[in-house]
Amino acid sequence: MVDILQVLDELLVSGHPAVIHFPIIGIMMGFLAGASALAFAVFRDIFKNKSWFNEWWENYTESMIDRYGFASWIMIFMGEISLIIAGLTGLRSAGSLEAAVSSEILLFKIKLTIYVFFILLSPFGLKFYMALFVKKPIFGRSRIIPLLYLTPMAVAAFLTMLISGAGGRYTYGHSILDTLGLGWLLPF
Amino acid sequence: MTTNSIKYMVMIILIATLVIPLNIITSNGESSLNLSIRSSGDFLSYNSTGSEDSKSLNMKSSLVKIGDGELSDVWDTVINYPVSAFGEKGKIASIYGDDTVYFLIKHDVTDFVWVAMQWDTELTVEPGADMGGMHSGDDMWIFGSTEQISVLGDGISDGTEGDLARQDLVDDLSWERILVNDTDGAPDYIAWEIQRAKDTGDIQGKDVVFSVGENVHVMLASNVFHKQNDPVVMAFILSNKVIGGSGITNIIIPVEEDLDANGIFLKYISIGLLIGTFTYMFVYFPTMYIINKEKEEEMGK
Repeated sequence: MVDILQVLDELLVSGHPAVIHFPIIGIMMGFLAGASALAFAVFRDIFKNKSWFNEWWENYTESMIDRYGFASWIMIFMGEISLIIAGLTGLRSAGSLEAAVSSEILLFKIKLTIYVFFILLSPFGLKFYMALFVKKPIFGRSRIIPLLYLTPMAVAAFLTMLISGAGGRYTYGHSILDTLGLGWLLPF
Repeated sequence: MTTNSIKYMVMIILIATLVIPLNIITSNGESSLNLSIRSSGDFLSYNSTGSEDSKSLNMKSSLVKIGDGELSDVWDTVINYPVSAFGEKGKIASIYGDDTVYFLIKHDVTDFVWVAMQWDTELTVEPGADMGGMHSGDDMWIFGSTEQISVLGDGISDGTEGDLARQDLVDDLSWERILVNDTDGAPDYIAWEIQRAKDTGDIQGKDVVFSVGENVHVMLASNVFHKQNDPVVMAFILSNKVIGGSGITNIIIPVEEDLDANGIFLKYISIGLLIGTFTYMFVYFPTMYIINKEKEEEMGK
C-alpha cells in the first residue's frame, strides 16, 4: 500500500520547481490586473464628459474595472496561498531549515518571501473589508483607495521579482535579472 | 458592526502585532519563548535554549569545526569542485561566514606528500595561464604530513631554488587533517579543513584578503603536480569560482558559529510582522478616513 504521507513528503521535496511559478505569476499579474482596473477608472474619469463617451463606453469601462478588479484580487489570493505552499516546498527541498538559512541566497529568498506574505495581507484583507463592512468596491469613487490597494502589491511584485531572480541564480548561476542588466538588484 | 467597533478591533490588532515581535526582539531569555540574543560580529542571532537546534532535520550541522577529527557535514551541502592537481580524489570547496572563510581540500592518499594553495594577491597572472609558478611574495598555504617540506600552514611564496616557501611569522590559519576511509574501511582520501579570517590585517605576511564578489587568483599545486606539471591558475570569487576557464557557480553557505536556524527564522517572521503592521497602517488608516468622508458627504446630500 502506498504511504500517502511519504508521497506527500516526496511531493513537497520535488514540487518546489513547479509550485514557485504560481506565486510569481499570481502576485505579478495581480498587480498588473489591479493597475489595469485603475487605468480604466482613470480613463473613465478623464473622458466621461466628452461627447463620444456614450453609454457603450460607460458600460465597457465599468465592466473592465469590475473584471480587472476581481481578477486582481483572485490573483493575489492565488499568489498568497501558493506563496505559502512554495515556501513549504522550498524549505523541504533545502533539506532542513538550518541548511536553508545557512545559504546566503536561500536566506535572501526566505526573508523576502516572509515580507511578501505579510505585505500582501493588507490589500488581500482590504478587499474583504470593503466588500463585507463598507459594501463598496475598491475601484469606486475614490482614486486614492485603489492606489493604497496597489502600492503594497507593487512592492510585493518587485520583491517577488527579486525572489525569482535569486532562485535563478541559485539554480542556473544566472537569472533573467542578469540578462536584463538588473543583476545589481541582488545583493550577492 | 459599527465604525467604532472596527476602530477598536484595528487598534487591538495593531497593538498585538507590534508588541509580539518587539517582545521577541527585545527578549532577554526570561520570556515564555525562552529566547536570548547573542551578537556575533555584525550578525544578530538568537539562541534558543531547551531544544535541539544544533542539528537540523536531516541531522546535518552547518558548523565547521576544526580539530574535532571529523569532516564537517556542511561540506555535503556545497559543491566540491574537482582539482586534477590533487589527484583522482582531488576536490576543493569553500564557504564563508561574516568574518571567516573556510576551505575543504581533498587529495589522494598515495603519492601526495604535500598540497598547496598559492594566492596571487596582485592579480599578476591571468586565469587559465600555465606559468610554471606564481610570483615570489604571494600568500601561500601548504599542508603536508611529512618532513619533506619545511613549511606547513601559512607561508609566503619564496621562488628561490632552494625553498618553496618561507613561513609566515604570523600563522593566521587553522587547519585539520582528516583521513577518510571508504565503506570497506580502507583509506579513501585525505581531507584538509582550513579556516582563516577573511581579512587578517597581516600585511607582513602579504595575506590574501577575501571580500564577497571580489576576484582573487589561486593556483593549486602538490608535490605530484608542481612546476613542470603546473596546474592552471584559477579565478576565485567567494560567490563564484571559475575553474579552467569554464564558469561554474559556487553555492555559498554562510557559516555562523552556533547557527540558530529557528532563531533566524523567527527574527524574519518578527520583521515581517512589523512590515505587515506598517503596511496595514498605510493602507487602512487613509482608507477609513476616505470612507468616512464619503459617508459624511452622502449624509449631507
